[in-house]
Amino acid sequence: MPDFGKLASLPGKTIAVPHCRMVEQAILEKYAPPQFLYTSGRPGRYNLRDTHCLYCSADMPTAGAEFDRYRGSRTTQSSTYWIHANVLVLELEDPAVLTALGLTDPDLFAPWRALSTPGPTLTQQLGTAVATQNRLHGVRFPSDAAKERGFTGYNLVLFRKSVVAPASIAWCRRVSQFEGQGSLP
Amino acid sequence: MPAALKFTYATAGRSTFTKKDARTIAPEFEFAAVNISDISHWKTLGDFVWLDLDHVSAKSFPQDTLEILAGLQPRKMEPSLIFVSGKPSHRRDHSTIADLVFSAFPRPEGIEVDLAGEPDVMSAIAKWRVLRRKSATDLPGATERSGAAHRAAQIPNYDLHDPSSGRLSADAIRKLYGVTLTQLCDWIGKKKAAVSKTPDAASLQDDLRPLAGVALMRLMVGSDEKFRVWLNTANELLERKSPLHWIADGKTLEVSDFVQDALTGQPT
Repeated sequence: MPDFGKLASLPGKTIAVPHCRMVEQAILEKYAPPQFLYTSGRPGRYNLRDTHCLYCSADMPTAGAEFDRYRGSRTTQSSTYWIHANVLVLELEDPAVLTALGLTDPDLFAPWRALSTPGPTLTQQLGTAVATQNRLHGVRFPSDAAKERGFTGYNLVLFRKSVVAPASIAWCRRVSQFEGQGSLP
Repeated sequence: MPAALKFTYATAGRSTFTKKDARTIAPEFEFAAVNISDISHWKTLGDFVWLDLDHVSAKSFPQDTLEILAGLQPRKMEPSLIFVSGKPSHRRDHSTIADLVFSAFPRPEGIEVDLAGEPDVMSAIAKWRVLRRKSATDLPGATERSGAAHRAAQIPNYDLHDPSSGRLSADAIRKLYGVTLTQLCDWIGKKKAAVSKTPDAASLQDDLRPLAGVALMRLMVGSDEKFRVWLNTANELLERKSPLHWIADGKTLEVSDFVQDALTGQPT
C-alpha cells in the first residue's frame, strides 16, 4: 500500500468551470426521468466499489472520446449535459504533484477493471485516500480515452461524501446530437 | 391514470378540419384547433401535431414556428408526429419547402410532409400509431404494459423473468446467452439438478443478477443475436478478451459493471 501521506500538504486546484458528460440519448430516456447526478458506487479508475462518485470530462472533445469508446461503429444520438462544480481537487496534471505522490504516467493509464489483476490499482488507492480526507473533493486526472485518440484531455472524479457546502455540484443544459460516420455511395 | 393523447391542428387560415373529423379518424385523441401563432407559447409538444400551412411559398414559409417545434421535439419522451401539410404557391417551391421542413427537426423520422394539396392525415395518424406501437415493443427484453405504450412502462430484461413468479429465470438467461444449463451452472456455482428443477428459485437470484446486468447490453446493441455476437467478441476495454471469457473466468460482476459504464458513458 503506497503512502499518500503527502496528500495533506499538496496544493489543490479550484474548479469552477463547467465539465461535461456525453450519454447515449436512448439510454438516458429509458431511465426517465434522467438522473444526471446519479452515482452508482460501481468501481472506477479512482474509486472502489461502494465509494459513490461522479465522473465527468473537462471539455467536449474528451467527453466525446470517452463516449466513442463504448459507441464503437454504431451511429447513435447522444445527449451532452454540463456539470457545474465549485470544488477543490487534486490536480494530476501537475508534475510536482505526481512526483510527490510517487506516481508515474503508466500508473495513471493502467487497466483498472479487476479482471486479470485483482486490484486495487494505485489510482484506486489514491482515490480512496482522497475520498477519506476532508480538504479535497476529488481528483482531476488525464483521460485514457483522449490519450488513445492522440490528444491530451482531462476528467474529473468528485466524491459524493466529500462535496459539502460551500462546495457544490449542479447540472444544467442538455444538448442532443448525432454521433457516427457514414459515406456515399 | 395515463395522460390523454393530444391532437393539435394548427393553421394560419380558416380551420377546415373539425373536432368531428378528428373524432372520426382518430378517436383516441383529445382534439384542439389553434392558430399557428399560438405555437410560440408552447412549452411542450403534443402527441400528434398537424401544421396546416395552406397556401405557402418558400418566402412565406413560417421558419420561426418550425424552429419552436424543433426545439420541443427532443424533449418529448413519448413518440410524437408532426404532420406538415400545405399547397405550394409555385411548383418549384414544393421540394424546397419539404427540404426546409425535414431539415429543421433533429428527429426527421417524427415528421410527415404532404404538399400535394389534399393532406392525407389518415396515413400520418397511421404512422404515428405504428411509431407508438414499435417504441413499446422494439426494445429487446421490453414489454408493453396494459396497452399504454409509454417508454417509462418498459421493463428492461423483462424476458429474463419467469412470468408467474416475477423472478429471474436461469432457463431464460441460458437461452439468451446461447449456452447449456451445465455451462450456466458452472458460472454460478450451482448444481444442475437443483437449477433444472426450479430455474427461478429465490436462492439463485443473487447469482443470476450480474448475468442479467450483462444482458442490459442489448439496450445498446439492439437485439439478442447481436448481444450473443458481442459476448463472443474480444473487447479492447476488457483487456482484449471477450465478455464470455471473463464470465467463464468468474468475473461476471466486473463485466456487468462494464456494461453499466457503457450505458452511462462513464469516463475511464
